[in-house]
Amino acid sequence: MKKLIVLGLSALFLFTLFIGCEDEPQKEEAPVTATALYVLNSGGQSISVVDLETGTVYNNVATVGTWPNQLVYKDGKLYCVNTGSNNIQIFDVDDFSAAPEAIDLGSGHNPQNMVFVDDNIAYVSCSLSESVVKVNVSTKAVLDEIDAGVGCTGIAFASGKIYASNTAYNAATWGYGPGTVTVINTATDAVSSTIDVALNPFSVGVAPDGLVHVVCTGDYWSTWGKVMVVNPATDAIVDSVVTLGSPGNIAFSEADDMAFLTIWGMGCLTYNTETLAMVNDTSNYFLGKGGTGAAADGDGNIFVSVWDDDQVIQLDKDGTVIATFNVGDKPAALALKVE
Amino acid sequence: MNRLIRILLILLIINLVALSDDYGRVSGVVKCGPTHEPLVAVNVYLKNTHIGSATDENGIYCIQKIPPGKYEIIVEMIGFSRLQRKFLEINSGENLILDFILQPQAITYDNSVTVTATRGHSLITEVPSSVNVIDKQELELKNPQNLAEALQNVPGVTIKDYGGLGNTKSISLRGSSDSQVLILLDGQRLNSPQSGSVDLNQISLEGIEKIEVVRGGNSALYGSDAIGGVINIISKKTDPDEQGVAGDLKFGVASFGTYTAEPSLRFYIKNSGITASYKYLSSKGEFSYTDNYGNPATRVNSDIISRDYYLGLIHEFGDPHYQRNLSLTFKHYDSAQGAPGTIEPYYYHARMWHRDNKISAVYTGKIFNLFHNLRFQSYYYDSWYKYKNDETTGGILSKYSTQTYGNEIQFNSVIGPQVSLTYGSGFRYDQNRDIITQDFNKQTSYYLFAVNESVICINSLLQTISLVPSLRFDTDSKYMNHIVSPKLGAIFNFGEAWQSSLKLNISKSYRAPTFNDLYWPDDDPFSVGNPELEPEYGTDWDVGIRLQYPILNGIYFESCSFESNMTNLIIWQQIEKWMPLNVDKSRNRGIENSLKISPIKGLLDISANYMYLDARNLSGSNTTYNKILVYRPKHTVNFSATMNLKAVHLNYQYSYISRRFADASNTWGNSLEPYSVSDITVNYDTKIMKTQMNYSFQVKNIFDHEYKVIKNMPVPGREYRFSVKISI
Repeated sequence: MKKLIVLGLSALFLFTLFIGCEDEPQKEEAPVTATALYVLNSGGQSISVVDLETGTVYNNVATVGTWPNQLVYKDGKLYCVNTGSNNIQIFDVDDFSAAPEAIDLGSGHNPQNMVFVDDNIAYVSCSLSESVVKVNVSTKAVLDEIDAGVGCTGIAFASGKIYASNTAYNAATWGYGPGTVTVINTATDAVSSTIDVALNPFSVGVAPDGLVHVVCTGDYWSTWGKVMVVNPATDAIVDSVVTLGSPGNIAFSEADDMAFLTIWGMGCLTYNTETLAMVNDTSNYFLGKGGTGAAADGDGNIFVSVWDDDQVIQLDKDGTVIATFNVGDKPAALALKVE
Repeated sequence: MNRLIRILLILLIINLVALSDDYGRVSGVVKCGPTHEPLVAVNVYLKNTHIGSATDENGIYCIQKIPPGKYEIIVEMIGFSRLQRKFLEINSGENLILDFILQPQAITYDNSVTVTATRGHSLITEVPSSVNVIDKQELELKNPQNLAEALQNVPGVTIKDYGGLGNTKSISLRGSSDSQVLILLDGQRLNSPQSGSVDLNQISLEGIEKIEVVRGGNSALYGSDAIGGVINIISKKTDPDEQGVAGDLKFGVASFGTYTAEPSLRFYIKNSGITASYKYLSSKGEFSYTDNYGNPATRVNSDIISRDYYLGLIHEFGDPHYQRNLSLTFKHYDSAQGAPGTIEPYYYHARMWHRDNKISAVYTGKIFNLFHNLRFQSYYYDSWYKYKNDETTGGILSKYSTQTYGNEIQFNSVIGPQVSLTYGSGFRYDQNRDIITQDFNKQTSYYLFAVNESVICINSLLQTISLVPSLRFDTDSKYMNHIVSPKLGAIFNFGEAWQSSLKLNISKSYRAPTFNDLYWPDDDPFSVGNPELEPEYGTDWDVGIRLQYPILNGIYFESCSFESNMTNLIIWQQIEKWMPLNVDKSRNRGIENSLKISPIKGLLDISANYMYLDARNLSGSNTTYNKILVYRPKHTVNFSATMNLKAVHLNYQYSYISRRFADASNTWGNSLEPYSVSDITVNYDTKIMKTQMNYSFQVKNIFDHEYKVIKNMPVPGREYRFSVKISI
């Protein structure tokens, strides 16, 4: 009887060891796709792949580093700028299961965004080191580091020059100093000029007509958004758009001559890049939700990530929803592969 | 509130009426079974009362002034089997003579006493709650460097170790968050009013007598934050039996450049005693790890220097029946350390400083008569914290100071045969100042509580039923809400020698918003506090069995199924700015099993526990709904074996933690691999002349397993520790 009880208790103890054993979730594999939208899920620290031909979504096909900020697609590779990890991960989009390579920028840089100037050379804006770092993505080597300004964040390439925006954020006062754009000549890797812009220039983009659009977010509190247009031929401000709101990133639709400015939680503000007239303003947001990341293809499709709903929504320029993709946790940035 | 005060008054009147009756008396002799020699200092008392006595040099005891009624009488002494005679009926004016013969103990169960589970003194095997006690012997044997190490093998506990001696360590009970675990020092909360949580690394183990862990909701006894459970750190009291002067000197050396020195001094003369101790710790803290890209790296900027001071004074007065004592404790802790943060990003120069003072005065004693105990406590805590980091955008310099003071009065009254009531109230004031910005927040809180313990004796297979209802009322100047937290515990005991118990608890608990949640300054461009926040609420139940069988020198088995449903969880979300909102829901359920056996009596003790946990998010988007909460392992296994070979004590400890997810959507690539860790400790006691020597050799993580408990936070590999303690 006693032996039976001991055996029974032991069996009960052992049995409970296996009560919870169930299949753990496994990561998904993404097939090779001709066209794709890559989604950076900042909550899941992962990448989702949307096959734009079939509409199939492959979530969490790869994991990224700490504080991922930007995805860039180029020539079969996907580049992820990881601010906290101080590196750029390089994924092979035909085989996400392969361990990514990385370009290590070194501690104390906090890379924010990158832009390619040719097949191998890219420039990376770094907020903590207040610099722009030149890298060779083939050799994974850091080639040069050029001083920029405080809170160097946005970056774009036009007319042989790098335009890096400096937010001048002051963490001690929770405020912003005067915003500037540092212009770097890629032939010499020297600063050729510094352009004064509006408060908190968060991102920079190059419009289809070749002009540089600097998105000045404002202080989220009393000074509101403005886009400054710079002519890269003269590096002078040639125009501006008062957008209001607190715009973040910018995407251009060449097919419709439209610029899309992301607005957290509200979707996008839009304006015509030729006339600079607002199309969707703060009384008439494009999409009306989401707005962490935006991308546009050459066919007039706009993709906007919706942070709260874990979705990416495909729309046309009029805001008509074409498709909704359920992606990973907290989508924040997008990159397109278009054949 | 008025209703509660009325109930307390009625109960008090019932007490006084009960006291007006005539009393009975029990007396007799207690002898040793084999020799029939009288036994001295045997405790003889009536269960669930404060009525009792101890035998004198002739083995004679006498319990007087017993109100008429039915009682269980308990006779116990260390080294002897506990005797329990039920259904003893005491009549008015009666003098009952009962002699007892105690047999040397053949069976050892865990008979630790808890003061936390019911706010009274109860055996952990007799309370409905799931309780574990880490006593002084266990602390000495396992030689933990911090509170996290002391708690890591307790059932239901998950330690979040951010790696290294100086880095943060926090605790989860039954899958709760760290701010849903209430940490107490001698019954008073240590949770930061600013952040709600406690860094276990910064709680000194100097002057600690024992640590009690009570799992499950306990706001009905202790108020806010006790959703997952309560950890009560009990300060050491100078033992009046140790008359004279004694002292220890302990030196330790360990891997990663760690050195400790711990002198202590105790003396007790007549009715007064003083204990003073000091601990100095210095550690370079650097260890090797593999970074996220497979490269070897060294965890630099992990150094720490800390100092602990403890001073305890106690004075006892009054005759043995009406003994009262006043104890004063003073603790000081300060540390300076590196703060490397994660390995991505890595902060090579960030530093952290911490200073902490705690003063407490406790008076305990009987009042009116033998049936009422009073405990009055006053306390003052002061802490200061500084963090400096030039490796972030704009740099960070934080300096905070927090002051807390309060008073608590608690009565414990026997209000009838097998019925006692613990009740009281308290007042507490907290203030917190940001020294850089001069932001200042304060709160005042008041509370009333009552815990009833009733035992119903049934003369059948079902021997007794114990009921422990409790209720607490809290009000707070922060949000002026009045919160009532109820709890009901019950335990059904079957059999006597082969005792089987069925226990259950149901309770409602809460966690109040912190200063950060409510008042985060609105001049921050990205974040703002939310003064409209409501508390988080948890409704939980557990049901389990407890078996104490006299086989294999005593087998103790406890199995408990639990579930906790949490609503109104405070989550910071981005609306226009980041702000906290009552949005999330979660549900934790699981099973805890504990087993203790002594296969070779006096030589080998084995204990093991296992927790299955299913903690899920019941809110959020489709990617996070019903997903496993971050850093909650499904399976936790602990095993411990202790061998006692005369002067050598050998302990082996094993822990297994299953996979944990590091993000809310349970991305496989972000999950952390399961790990298992084995530690071994050898203690050797010897005596040279009149000097007691203790040598302790410890190997932590003996198989040098490389693992992480938190993503990007590596944990040190194999660690050797050696210490020598000289006691005079």
